[in-house]
Amino acid sequence: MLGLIPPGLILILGALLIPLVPARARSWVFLIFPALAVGVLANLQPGEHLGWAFATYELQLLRVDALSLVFGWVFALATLVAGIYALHLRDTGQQVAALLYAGSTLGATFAGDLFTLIFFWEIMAFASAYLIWARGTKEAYGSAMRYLFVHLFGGSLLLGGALWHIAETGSIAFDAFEGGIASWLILGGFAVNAAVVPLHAWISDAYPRATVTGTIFMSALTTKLAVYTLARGFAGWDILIWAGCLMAVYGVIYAILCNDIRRVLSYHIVSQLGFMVAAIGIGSTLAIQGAVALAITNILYKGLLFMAAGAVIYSTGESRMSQLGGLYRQLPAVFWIYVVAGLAIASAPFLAGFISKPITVYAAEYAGLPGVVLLLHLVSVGTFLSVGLKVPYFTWFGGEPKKPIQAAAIPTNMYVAMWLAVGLTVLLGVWPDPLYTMLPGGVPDYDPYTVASLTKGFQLLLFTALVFFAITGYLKPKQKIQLDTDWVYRSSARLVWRTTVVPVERFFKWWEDFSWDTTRKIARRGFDPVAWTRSILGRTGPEVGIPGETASTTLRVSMTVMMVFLLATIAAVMLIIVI
Amino acid sequence: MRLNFWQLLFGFALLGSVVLGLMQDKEWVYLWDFPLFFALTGLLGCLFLSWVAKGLVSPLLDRPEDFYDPSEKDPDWSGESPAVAPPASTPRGRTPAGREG
Repeated sequence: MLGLIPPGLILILGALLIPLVPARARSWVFLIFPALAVGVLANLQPGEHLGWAFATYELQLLRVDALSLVFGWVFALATLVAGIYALHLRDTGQQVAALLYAGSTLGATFAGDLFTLIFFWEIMAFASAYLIWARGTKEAYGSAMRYLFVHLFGGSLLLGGALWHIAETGSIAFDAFEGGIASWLILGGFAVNAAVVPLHAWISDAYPRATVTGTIFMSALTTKLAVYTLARGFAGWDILIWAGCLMAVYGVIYAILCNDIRRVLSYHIVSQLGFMVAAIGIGSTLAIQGAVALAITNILYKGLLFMAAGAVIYSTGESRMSQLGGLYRQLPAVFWIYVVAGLAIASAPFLAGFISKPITVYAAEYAGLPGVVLLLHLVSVGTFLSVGLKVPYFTWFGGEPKKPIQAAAIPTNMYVAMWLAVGLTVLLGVWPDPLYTMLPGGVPDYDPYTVASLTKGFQLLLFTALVFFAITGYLKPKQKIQLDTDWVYRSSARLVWRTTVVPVERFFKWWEDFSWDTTRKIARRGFDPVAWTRSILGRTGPEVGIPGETASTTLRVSMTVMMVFLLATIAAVMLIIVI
Repeated sequence: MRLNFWQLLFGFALLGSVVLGLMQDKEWVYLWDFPLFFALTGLLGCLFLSWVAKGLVSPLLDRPEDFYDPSEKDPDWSGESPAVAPPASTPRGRTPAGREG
């Protein structure tokens, strides 16, 4: 059964093998594993299963259906493209972490039971945290630790919910959940990874601080896997509609404000996830297809946005728009690449966003939710404003930077990866059939290219741009950060430190001082063999040690203890003899 | 006012999208069936969101960049500094200081 190899295991095997190959070849060998995974995926047919008896349970290591297959494809392809983007990298730690991360994501995608899912879910958290940590800065260290804690919290919710669910139903299968406390706990676990507001702050905290190449993997994998798990477990849960709407608005407002390019993109992930979560909440076949199509195309052009932003950071060493500007003369190609991705995410016609995002809005319309439709249209405006206009304008134009910037050369492999993603974005935009045929539930009942939809698309983008160019001065990013829900654990960390660590430290400090002090006092009054010897021999020798003290503290104490012990022994012996 | 090529192109595209919208004869069911709905959404939505972000949220939530890093002011607080050295990576091929790949 050569066909039934879990594709995730190939990547995890790669993570084990890659340190063994010569250092120079590592980044090339890296590409072999996602390519192999793509090959395996091409042979998988919906309906196939691979079980594995473990204790009293039958684990489902591989559950192939339309939903898992389409996500599997895009995760493997995204890993391949990100691998090309990282070809110049000589950092074994990151390569191992990236393969382990992508492998466990694929493992979780094809997991048919809750144990397998949680197993890979936790590996993902650790492997991806390494990609933040590898940046090596103090901020990255703090971010990685917070990232890990938040994800372990989410993982614990998931584990608790899963155990409860298994105790209640006796089944470990990962399918649609029915409700009850167990389901809510599991939903909480998924919501952490899906960056549902207010559990989203890890994303804007960690992604801007991860390594340039690491963020590409992270933007493609963690949140989109959460979309997949939500679509499988919680389709049609009404609360997700409202959670999604909140995310969509919340993310886009922050994206308009932020100064760091990758932070804008991170907040915008929250906003885009809002569309997907809301569509999953609607739960109709069309809505789920919209959510899946949007997730798939998002991996593509959000990855491309992060790649272009990463190229700027790699080349200039600066990520804040307040310090950037006028880069067009130095990095024109990156600008055009970015613009394609920015237009795609704003769902401009003939690009990948145009064939996916409107499906979710259309599904909301079809489900009779006009409020949601209006809100999503408004958020689309904000999408183009923040990601499509603000970032490129203030990075590549918008006057001169505060300090002159000399952009370093960008490795060719980065350009290759970016152009590859540009090609795919355009290809899917004009020819959506390959994606549509893979969606669960067949080809969606939606025609992206009508005169009406084109008119809508052009009107929205052009008039947003008109206003943007009229008020660019008002929108200029400030050299500030914005408070978010991570304030709760970042500022309370200081309080916890003060109330738990500081008093304990003070107590031990006091105890140490006290015991030294007492020892010294005992020693002063104690037995000093040197002085004793001198007094017996009646000789005065040269002063040794500290003036005024004839023997060291240690010597005095040990001699005192010895004498006491000796006297006690003699007393005991005498006592025994007398009796 | 002299317009350059890009501004002219942009202007014609604006006009074109409006004309295209007006040319479509569609029955009104929802608000968004109005021919210029998306032009107005772009126009007003962009103004509204900019105002919410810059006018309402920014004064409330903006903080200096070192807001979360008070380690220099507070000697008791060293919770965010690495207790161990950051992960060692192969020194070869490491890009110049301040940049990484």
